[in-house]
Amino acid sequence: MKSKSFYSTQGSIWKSTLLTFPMILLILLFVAGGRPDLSTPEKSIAFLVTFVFLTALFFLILYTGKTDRYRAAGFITLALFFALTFIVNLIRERGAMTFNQENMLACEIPFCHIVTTMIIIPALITKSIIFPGSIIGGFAAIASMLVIVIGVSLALGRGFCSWGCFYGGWDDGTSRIMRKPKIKKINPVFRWISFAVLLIVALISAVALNPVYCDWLCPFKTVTEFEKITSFTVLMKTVVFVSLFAALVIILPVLTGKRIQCTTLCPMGALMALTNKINAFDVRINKNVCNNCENCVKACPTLSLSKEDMAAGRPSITCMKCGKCIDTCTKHAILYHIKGTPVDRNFSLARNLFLYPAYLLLVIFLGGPMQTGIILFMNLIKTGHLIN
Amino acid sequence: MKMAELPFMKVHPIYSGGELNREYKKDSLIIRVNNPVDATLFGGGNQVVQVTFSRKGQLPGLIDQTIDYNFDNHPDFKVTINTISGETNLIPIDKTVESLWLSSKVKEDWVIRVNLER
Amino acid sequence: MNYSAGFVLGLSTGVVCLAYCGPVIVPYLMGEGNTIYKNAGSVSLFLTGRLMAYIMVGLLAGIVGKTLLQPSSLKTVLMGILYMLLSVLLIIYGFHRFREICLGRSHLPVKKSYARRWPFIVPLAGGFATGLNICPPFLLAITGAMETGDIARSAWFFIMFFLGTAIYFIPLPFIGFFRKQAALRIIGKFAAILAGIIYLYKGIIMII
Repeated sequence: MKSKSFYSTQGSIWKSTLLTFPMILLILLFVAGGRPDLSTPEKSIAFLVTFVFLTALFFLILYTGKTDRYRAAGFITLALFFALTFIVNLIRERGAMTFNQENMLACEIPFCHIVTTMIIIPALITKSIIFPGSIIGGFAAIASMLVIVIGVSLALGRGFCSWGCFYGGWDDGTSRIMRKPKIKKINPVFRWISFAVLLIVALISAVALNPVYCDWLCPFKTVTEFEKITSFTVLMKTVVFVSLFAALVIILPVLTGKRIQCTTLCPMGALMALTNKINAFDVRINKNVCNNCENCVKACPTLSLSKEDMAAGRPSITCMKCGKCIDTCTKHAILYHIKGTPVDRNFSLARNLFLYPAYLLLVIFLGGPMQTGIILFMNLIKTGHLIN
Repeated sequence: MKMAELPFMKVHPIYSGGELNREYKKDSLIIRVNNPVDATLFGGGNQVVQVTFSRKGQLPGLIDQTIDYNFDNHPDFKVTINTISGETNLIPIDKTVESLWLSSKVKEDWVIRVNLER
Repeated sequence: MNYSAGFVLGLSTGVVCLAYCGPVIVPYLMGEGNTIYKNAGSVSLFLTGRLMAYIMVGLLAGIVGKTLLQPSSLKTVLMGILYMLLSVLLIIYGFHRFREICLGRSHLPVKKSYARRWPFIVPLAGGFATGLNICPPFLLAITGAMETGDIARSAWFFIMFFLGTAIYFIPLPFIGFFRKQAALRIIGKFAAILAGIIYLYKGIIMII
């Protein structure tokens, strides 16, 4: 049974409000730079809706004691708004979702965090980045994205995959469509496929001096940008990534209730899993309280829990710290935990300490796209056009 | 930004085009030939060379040039570029020249990258 | 194929090598109960045996490549077919379960009298025997070596392949690393399947 700790905010309005207040200040800082732009009615509405949405979600996480459902609401919203604003921006600048040889020659391709997995080995050997992007300046410059990746790895480990990744919300959303999954039994061994993908893409990219995952596999090119089809090879690449999007982001998550793309394909997820080892936060199972019902095993969207993991008292390194197992456990035996501290003490404090950096990451990534997206929708309602 | 100043924080020459070798004027064009860059991880394998064509004002509708990329006084390849349609034809002359990799207008210039075999 | 490709082939399939060749040497290391330094010596002897086997096969592959493949006008097509066949084998290998062989006291690769007189011969011979293990990554390496069409280059290709696989054996003297054996083996099998798909594509392109 969960004890009513001093740090627990569940069911307490005043404690939840008190702990939400610092997050309100952080939301104002990161969403509006401390000074919201209220110059037009559209911008005012966009800011207010975003501010209320983000504040309410955090308050509810604290007040209800449930993490996953509110986290997912923000996370899925991030995926949708990011894709919308990215595509609209591309169409405004280039007239299409495609990039062409001019963009590559001019090093104008935005640097996505997944590319990090493919640049490490060549960077060590050639002391350069094998990506046609800009080091500083422009949208998603290489230096700024690498700073984000390193910072997030240290702060949250693979928690990035549940709180910050602007792609993960897609299969997080599709995995929740069916209340009861059609395919129930999945061998947890599949969680290791992404490590094999990481190994192969890192090596092949190094030899070819070309980020092959981006070139051939990334399913999220379907909702961001992709190469203009000018040859049979590019056509094949397009078929591959669209098929992977359909299979791993839509069909299989709907049928299994699991985040299949993130679990089995994403090499960045595998790399982030390794950083779970150096991260201060993890998820633990209090074996004194656990009754081995295995509801957590069924609930985990990334196959990070198995009987062996339960016996070991912790999920595997693939755990994305989404909180779904914690919310599912009726005995409150699964908890957010700070490494080096006892498992059965101060778990509410550990949860609160984890929630701040995790939710802040969501705020940083969602704030801008959500405001821009709301303005676009208002434009659509007013003028009938999404893009002017 | 300190991160941008780290030694490895530069785009690999296979994407940035490499360093300029020589620039010369020919037929109202300014032709810039870069140094060939290694296209393999440890070097010693295939290479890529970038050539940039520019002109004050607009580029001509047709660029038809023979290039000596290593300046050994032997022509290496002939390139014909229709700058309106973008159609580019590369005819290798020297056996080190393999194929055309990229050809596109970049701002006011036309840039090609050619695959070389060692 | 250049030498970095041999090294990368070794790196990409070396996890498979560790997962299946590792259990050959680990029971021996555990059975001997030696210090980390002595274990490192045993692992070095094991790897030396593997290297000897690899160089031998590399030279043979080079001879075959030079005498049979190089003169052929269908060299690219033949190599493409070989890559396709071997990549399919690699994919099947990734899905298949293999029984482990053991280098414990009951399964020595040399006569017991030799082992008693020269104990170093056990890991050395064990390494040589596992080095000759005809697994699909090894067959792909043979294909890559034959493609060089030169005996010396073929041997070098195999040496680079060996170095790529050997990296994974470095932690072996620290036996505790082997607690993660199960996950490592699964990753190796999946990596073998992915590598097989890539080589299958390479083979198809060579034929087209």
